[in-house]
Amino acid sequence: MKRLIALLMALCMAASLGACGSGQSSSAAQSSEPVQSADGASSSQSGSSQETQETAAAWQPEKPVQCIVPFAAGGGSDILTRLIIQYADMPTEMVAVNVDGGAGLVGGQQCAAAAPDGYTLLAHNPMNLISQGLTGTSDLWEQLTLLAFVVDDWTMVCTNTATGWKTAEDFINYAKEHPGEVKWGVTGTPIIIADSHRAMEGLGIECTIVPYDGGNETRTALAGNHIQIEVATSADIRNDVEAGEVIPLFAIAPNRCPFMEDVPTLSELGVPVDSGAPRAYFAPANLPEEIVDYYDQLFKSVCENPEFVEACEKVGMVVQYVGAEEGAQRMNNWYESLKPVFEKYGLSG
Amino acid sequence: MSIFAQGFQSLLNEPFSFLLMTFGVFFGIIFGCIPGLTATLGVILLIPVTYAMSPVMGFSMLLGIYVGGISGGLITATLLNIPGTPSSIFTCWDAYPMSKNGQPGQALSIGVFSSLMGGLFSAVALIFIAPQLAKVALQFGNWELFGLTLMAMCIIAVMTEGDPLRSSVGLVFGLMLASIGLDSLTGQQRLTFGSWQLLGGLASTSIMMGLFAITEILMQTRELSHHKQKVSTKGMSFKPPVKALKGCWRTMGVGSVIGTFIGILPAIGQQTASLVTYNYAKSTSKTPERFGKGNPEGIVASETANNAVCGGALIPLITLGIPGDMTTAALLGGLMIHGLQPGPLLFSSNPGIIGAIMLIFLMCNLVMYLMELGLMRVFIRLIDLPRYLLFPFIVFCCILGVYALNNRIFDIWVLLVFGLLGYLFTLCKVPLSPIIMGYLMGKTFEVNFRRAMISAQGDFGDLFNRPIAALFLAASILFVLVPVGLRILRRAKKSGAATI
Repeated sequence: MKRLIALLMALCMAASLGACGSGQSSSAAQSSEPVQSADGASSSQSGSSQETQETAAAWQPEKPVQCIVPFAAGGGSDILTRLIIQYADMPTEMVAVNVDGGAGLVGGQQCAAAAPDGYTLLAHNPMNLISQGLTGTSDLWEQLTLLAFVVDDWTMVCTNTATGWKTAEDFINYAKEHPGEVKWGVTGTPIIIADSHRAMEGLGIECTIVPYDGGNETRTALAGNHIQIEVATSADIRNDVEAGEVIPLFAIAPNRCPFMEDVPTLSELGVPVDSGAPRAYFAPANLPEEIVDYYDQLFKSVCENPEFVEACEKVGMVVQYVGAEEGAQRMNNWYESLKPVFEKYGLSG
Repeated sequence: MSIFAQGFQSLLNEPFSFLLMTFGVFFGIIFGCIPGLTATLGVILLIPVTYAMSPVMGFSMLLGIYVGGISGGLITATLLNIPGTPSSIFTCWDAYPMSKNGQPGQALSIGVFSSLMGGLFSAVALIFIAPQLAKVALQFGNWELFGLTLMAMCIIAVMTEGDPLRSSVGLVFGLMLASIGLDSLTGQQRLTFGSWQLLGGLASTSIMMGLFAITEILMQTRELSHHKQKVSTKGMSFKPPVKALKGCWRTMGVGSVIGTFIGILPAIGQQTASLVTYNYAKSTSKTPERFGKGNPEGIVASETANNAVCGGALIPLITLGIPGDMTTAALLGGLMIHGLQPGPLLFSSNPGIIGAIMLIFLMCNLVMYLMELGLMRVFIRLIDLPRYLLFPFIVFCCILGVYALNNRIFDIWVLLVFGLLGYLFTLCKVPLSPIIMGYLMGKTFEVNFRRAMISAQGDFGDLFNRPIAALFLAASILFVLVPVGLRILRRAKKSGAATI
């Protein structure tokens, strides 16, 4: 009997170790890389890192940095952060911590509540923050400092094979003849809804906007022809486009998507809407200048690493570095241009 | 069939899965045979352990616990007349008398064999029905999902054991829990009371572990010092009881079909299936008076049915994302953690996983049978594992698991608060499973209704353009009205009889 108990306890201990392991596996997996690169930094990398130190400032992290990923493990922000950790050349290690919930607000608030000392970062999407500000859901954006935009995504308007539309013109002609009939599924931030309204008004068509919760739901609805138009991110639909199951019609973005080169942008169709979909990094508000500079330079050097660019491409992301100052300017511009749109369509809180 | 081949491939790629399957079944049987520990609890407890595994490996273990846990309950039911897991309540009725008559080995082996047959039948059903249902499920739009969840909730309210009014209270409470956080369609805050901690809603793992694990432990600690019976395993033989099963084959077939069908229906599970089969077997038997006195047919009825529910319950889970019983509700959480959104698209986007789940389920049933034959003596001894060691350890696992999921201390508080709430609910005789079901289906229910109304531009009549949805709505109304109507009729008859 005693032996049995001992055996059971041992099994349970092993099981609980597994549970602990999951929490730490992320840090363990990362620590192997940064340690290596830290070694590298002291020898081969000393040239480049010293350069940045001379030009930027004296600040350098002295203890591990925590980067909060306010979304579930395995999502886009999570994958990107883990890639950055792998390629970032830092004297200490960076650890990704997933705090999921409330469209990124829970983790975001946790970062905003931390001290602005450069040891707590946040991986977040500027468009989420802007839309939460515009709808009055949260003023989280004002409690954060932007460090850099790192990668970009494209908002694609697409259809299924059942509709028979091959190009934007096919769709527009049909929609003009049948006002209100086409169901237009959206997911993501209310900015997508605002831009959908702008697109429809600019193109002179009328569709019924149906909000969904997540790309998986819109894909299921599109496959069952419950909606005829799906607004999705380029990364989400990439495989389905290649398989021919989803047909991209046009992009709502400042420029064409690199891996769907023949798909026009909405601006090319005569409707000047240029909302991007970048992924960026933030820190708590009132972060000292020299720390902002340190991280801005760090992200810049990561984005310039061809291996990192290639690794991002493999997971469907396109690296597009934008520095702290210019990024903040873009966010303000988007905010200002979207504000009247939100008011017009009754989206603001 | 290519789904099957791909599933086989992904299993072969990860041979470690077979080991995890065996461990899962072993762990499951232990959880099944210790009263108070259930298959659901076993699955919930080990979900955190799967975070670091691949989906195939994780599911090998979780399905093993599910199959083992449901079957393991029969051991305690047979030997101690206590259902080791709630689904074996009706096994007690015949298995215990039989074992008291000096045939404990016989009773156990009949039960184990019935478990195997029920499980295998439902595995075959899963393999053949699920892909077909997935094709139909793609046609399910907002109205259909609204109708389906409404029907499921009506079934829960009426069919959960005890007072329908109390289950409805639980259901509504669950629906309220589901609406906490950001509204997924408009992004507005709801029921957050200004706290950002609540913006993401309450974590389902915290709620489930709180309501099931912590509550159960609180309930059981009240009887911690009670004296327990000891069991001796001397002179038992567990040979497959071909002779004793003569004349039971029909019951076995009926139990498999009823169990699988009840499994497919959302939200009602093993107990209902066992009871329905038991009653059917008794009412159609030539010798109904032998039931309850150690009739092998009674054991067969209960055990085939409750294991057949497992495979049935997996069908709506993987095709529609709607759990067929409480344990699959926990499995739903397990799938989502691995980034797999159950639904018809899973069949085209991840056929390997679907095939693997089917195969794993099939194999777990075989492993369960072999293990229960070979290690029966071990399990019998584990029944008297001291609770004062077990319970603190389970609480510790819960806290660890909840925290590891999302790195938030807040979730631990949710766990503990829900443990206390569950205790209070149990004292007030409000059943806990409607709360969980309301919570899990609340969002699908609400969001699909609102989206359907948006699509139809505010016209509820649009529902009647969709025959399947209208059928679900009609069924929901029937499920609520028929039992109520029957009760009124019965009361009227009684008072009529009184006046005569």
